[in-house]
Amino acid sequence: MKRLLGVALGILTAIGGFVDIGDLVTNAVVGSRFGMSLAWVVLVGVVGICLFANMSGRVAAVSGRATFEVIRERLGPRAGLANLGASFLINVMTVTAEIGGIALALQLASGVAYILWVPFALLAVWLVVWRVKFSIMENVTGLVGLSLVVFAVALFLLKPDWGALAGQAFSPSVPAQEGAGVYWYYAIALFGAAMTPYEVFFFSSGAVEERWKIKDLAQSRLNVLLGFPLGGLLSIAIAGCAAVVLLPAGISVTSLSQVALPVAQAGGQLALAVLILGVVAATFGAALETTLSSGYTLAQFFGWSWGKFRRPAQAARFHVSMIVVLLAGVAVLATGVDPILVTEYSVVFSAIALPLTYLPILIVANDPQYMGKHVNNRAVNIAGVTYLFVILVASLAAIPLMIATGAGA
Amino acid sequence: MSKSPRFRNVVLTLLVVVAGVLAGCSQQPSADALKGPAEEVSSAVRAASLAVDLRISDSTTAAAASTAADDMLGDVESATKEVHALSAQTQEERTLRNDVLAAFSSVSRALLHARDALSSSSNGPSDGQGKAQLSTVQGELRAATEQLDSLMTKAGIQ
Repeated sequence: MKRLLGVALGILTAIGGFVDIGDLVTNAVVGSRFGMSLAWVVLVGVVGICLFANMSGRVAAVSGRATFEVIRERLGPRAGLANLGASFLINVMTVTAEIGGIALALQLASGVAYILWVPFALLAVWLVVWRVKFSIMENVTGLVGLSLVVFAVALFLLKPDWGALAGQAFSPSVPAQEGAGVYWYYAIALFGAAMTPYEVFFFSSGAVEERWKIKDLAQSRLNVLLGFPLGGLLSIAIAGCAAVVLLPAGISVTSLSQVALPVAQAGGQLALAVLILGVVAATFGAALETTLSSGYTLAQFFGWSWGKFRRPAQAARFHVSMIVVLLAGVAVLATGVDPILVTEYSVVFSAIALPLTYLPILIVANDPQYMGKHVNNRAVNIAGVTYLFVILVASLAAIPLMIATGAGA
Repeated sequence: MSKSPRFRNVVLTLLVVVAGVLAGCSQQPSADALKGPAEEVSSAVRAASLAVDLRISDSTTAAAASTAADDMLGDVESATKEVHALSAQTQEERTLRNDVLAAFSSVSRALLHARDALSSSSNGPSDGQGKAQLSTVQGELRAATEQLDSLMTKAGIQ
């Protein structure tokens, strides 16, 4: 019974933890501009993140070391540095976006300008990173983040033409008012949002934090293979709400307050309250994960002592680096830059950096020195190489499309 | 190896040319250049209108609705700056730009009134005076939307 509860909790937290500010904003933008015609990208992204999260979890459980640590050792400092540089930059951007997301959600709840909430968000994230146990932190934010199921409920309450939505999803096409370049730009953004690199680093470092062993692999596989796809369905529900309410009204999403409009229309103030709770939890959880990921990658590259299972005094540089990252994020927000804009750029830059994250994982997961008999099987390798090709194409196309479309304008 | 400096020079020259072309493009207030800002403002005023509707039906809170109006005001301000940056060379372009700016100004005014009305509607729309105020700003938002729509149609923007 206890084991069953553990599995259920793992799956629920994986669902609740799947959606972050990048998924929220990108799916709503896409739904309001392209309807459901980019839903296929969420599917492609979810399969990809399941594949590589599972791989990195296996590396951590078998070797007892986090993926980044093994990458540096196996591929050398130069390859590790390229990986570190790209993922660290994306992490800082994502931390900025997530803290901005917390502040924007609190503004939605209170009407008080988001910039005034930023210091509180910073303090809360730091306190939790500093004081709260890893498992409590992960489970609480993941479970409360499940409130975002309100998007799926709202979609049902809106009584959409399901046939029309399915038609858009299964026969995708570029809407007449949008160009093909913009369509593909947002396809890449959505792909980057679903496959954000920090998720993999957090997942594998978390496996070490929670001392996974080979016997835990079945449960972690179940969490990933059920939790992430259900999280992907939540992403599709966000796009669905925007497609049903905002697209016909001629509203293109540029802010979090617009994302809330369809939910309020469907379920009134109660649904709105649940949504705000969900957004705060999802962005807060993601802010914790990205902050920790920044500390993990730096510490694992430089060989510092790391981990929340150690007392802060025993992992001082790890904790200081996270404080610096949080302050850097807040400094960016203090310039007055729009957090939604940071989010939009962070998901595209994630897509650009994807090959640097996922190629090393594939290499390490095939190394018998680390993995023994748990190296990738043939089917996983075929899928991994196929995905690497997709990732590479998305990465190479991202910047030209960004320039050609004026960042999807 | 000896080719690399030449290659670098060619790439740099190409980048400079592309940057120059991009910088030179869409600086005139043609229908194409105005399309982006006009659509942004059109979307903003419609979103604010939906927020007011939801507030009138008590489906959203004063805080959420006024935040939406405030965000939309920001969008209109940035679109207005974008149009201001366009340099009109002919009388026709100047007239078009001024008409668009006038329409943006109406939207901006309507959004300001909407934000104020929504912020002060915290007692709930059941309050008669609050509801009347919200209905008034809703009318103002719709009028501004119509003005912008007709201008966009006339200018061939949509």
